[in-house]
Amino acid sequence: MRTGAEIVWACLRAEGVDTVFGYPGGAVIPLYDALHSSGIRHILTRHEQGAIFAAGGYARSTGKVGVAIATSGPGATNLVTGIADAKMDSVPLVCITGQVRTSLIGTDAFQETDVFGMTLPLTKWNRLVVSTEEIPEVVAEGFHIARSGRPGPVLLDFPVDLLKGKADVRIPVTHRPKLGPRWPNSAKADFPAPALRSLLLSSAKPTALVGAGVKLAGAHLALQRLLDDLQVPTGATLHGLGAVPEEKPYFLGLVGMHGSHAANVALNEADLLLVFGARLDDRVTGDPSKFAPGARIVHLEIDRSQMHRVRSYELPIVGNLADTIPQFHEAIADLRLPDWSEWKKTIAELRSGERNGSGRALPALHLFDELYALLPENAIVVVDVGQHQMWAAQRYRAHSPRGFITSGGLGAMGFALPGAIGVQLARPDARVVCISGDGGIQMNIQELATIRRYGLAIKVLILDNKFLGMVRQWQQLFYSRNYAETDLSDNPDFVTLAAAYGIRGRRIGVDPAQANGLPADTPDVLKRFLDSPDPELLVFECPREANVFPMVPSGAAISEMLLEEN
Amino acid sequence: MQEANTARYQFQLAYYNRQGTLMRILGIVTRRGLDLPYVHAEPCGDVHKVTVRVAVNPKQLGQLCREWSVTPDVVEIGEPIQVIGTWNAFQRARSRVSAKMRRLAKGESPRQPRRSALARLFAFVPSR
Ligand SMILES: Cc1ncc(C[n+]2csc(CCOP(=O)(O)OP(=O)(O)O)c2C)c(N)n1
Repeated sequence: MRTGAEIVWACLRAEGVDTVFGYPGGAVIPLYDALHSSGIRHILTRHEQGAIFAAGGYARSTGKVGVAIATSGPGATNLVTGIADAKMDSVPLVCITGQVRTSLIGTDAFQETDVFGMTLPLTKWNRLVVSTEEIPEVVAEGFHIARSGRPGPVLLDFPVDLLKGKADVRIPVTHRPKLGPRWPNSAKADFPAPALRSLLLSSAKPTALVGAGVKLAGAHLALQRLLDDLQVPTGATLHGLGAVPEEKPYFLGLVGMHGSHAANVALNEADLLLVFGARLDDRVTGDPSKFAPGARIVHLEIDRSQMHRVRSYELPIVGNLADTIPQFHEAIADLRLPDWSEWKKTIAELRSGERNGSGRALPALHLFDELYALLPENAIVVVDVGQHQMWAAQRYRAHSPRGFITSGGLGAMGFALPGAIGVQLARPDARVVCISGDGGIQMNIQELATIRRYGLAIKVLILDNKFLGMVRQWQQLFYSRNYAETDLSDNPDFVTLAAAYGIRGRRIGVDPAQANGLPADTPDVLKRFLDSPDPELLVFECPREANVFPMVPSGAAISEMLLEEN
Repeated sequence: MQEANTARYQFQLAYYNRQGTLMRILGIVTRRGLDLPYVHAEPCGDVHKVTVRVAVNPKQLGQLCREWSVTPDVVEIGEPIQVIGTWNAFQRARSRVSAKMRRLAKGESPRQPRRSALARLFAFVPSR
């Protein structure tokens, strides 16, 4: 006979879990009591949001299921943002929450919240566990659902009495969980090769768009082989960055709201759009009713609920991209493709004529160029939300398919610091750089203590413009410079703050005398920052009113992009 | 008040009645700010079936079916049937869809929706 808590740990081990992120409390004390004999490493963060973002970073950098643990009530509610983030960005997570004991459920007991009800729309699946005996089956099903098809978050809520109760169970469960969503099986016979071929043959201006699905399916190399044959202009979504190397002549960088001019023109003017594992959300399409008006759309995607978001697509292909991309390639193997050279030339000229940044943002853009030039092959950048995120994405030079990690769909400020902790623990050999704004870093700054506690050599770069910069930019451009409540000029001294956490910090500013706007010793400073074996913090004093361009105003068509400050 | 551009539909879904499945099915409707004038759920052999009537625009019609189709424990989605008239005038609709439900009730294994009008809402069918 084992206790429910011992059963939970044994089930996690059976699922291959080696690390969990959590924060204790009354309803999960039995779990923590049994931790020492579990063989699993527990990372104590300083906030439950830190724990779940760290679990998210762990999962995003490896593809493995991340596990976060919290107590009932406030512990569970603190997980909610991280769950929503994981749902949007297809991150496999299993969240374990404690619940008040069974006899108290429904009585508004101390620290009781209906976390099951609260997370119904945010999870792929969730369950309030009702007996100690069912724990192995529930955990197995939870992991199965979290990782299968389009990955996502699962929440399992354990009343504390069931964690203390005993049962005689078999672990691992031998039968496969009977249910789960009906994910398509990408049967070869179903692949619509003739329709695809005729769309390609009748196209004069094809464009490809690459999204996260390619990386999640591990299909980036298959896609590169396909695109090397097609040689069509190709853009990437924020989460698609890294799937196609920057050096490829057909690659145009980021698309969408802050995408490159060439990429957005290629999308907008295409007569055939080949979409690989991207949802076509509004940050990519701008006004969906004006998106790629002349294009027929071929959409390869695993999650059929994401189909036809913009309009009815000509050729939706539902399936795992690891299957459908090779099927695509096979379908066109013997095809004589039309001559697309005029189209490719037009877009290539746009790309080469693009300004290398302008205005007050230049020093920030050059800082990213210098940073990326120094990063080793195995580097992973974990980026927060705001202007710095868009600059980081615009200048990103792919190092690896899982090398650029950010909260894209939810856009949750405060993700990067704890996210980087999860990444570094999952990938101890990798150089992990956390890039954050001065606003976002203060949303989970307490996690500097976690970095210190576990001796993680994470490099934290803060772009300090003393504003909630991205919001300020919108206020400047669309609200007559009414900077209501976005001024952060009373920020703390981040270097002193880092010192209080036992982390070395330093500061660099701009140097208007230099062509790139950065002090001459910037490369040396960055090199020392990156090469030291310790955690480091570097504050870049960013010009206060620097803006991100190009920009598609919210609700406008991508053809209406503003190229630079006027 | 029914919005312009919307039409009244009846949907029937078969699902395994486990914690929260019905709530997930209904949440996919309510997250869009749609009213639910009619919901009826009942056991049907090994599974449960729920009948939902709701006024949707053409875009929402597809969205609902696609989201339901990836909801764990939803095993079958009947063809949505447009209904003319009041919320109560659903006799014809109900008898058509219930053949599928009867098959499920007899214990026949659930299967993917047939390649018919429904398929356009899903995959592999060029619509132009
Ligand atoms: C949790 C959360 N709250 C609010 C927002 C809205 N928001 C988006 S960007 C932004 C400003 C971020 O400021 P900062 O971290 O300083 O980065 P910057 O834009 O200046 O680079 C805000 C407030 C958000 N994305 N997430």
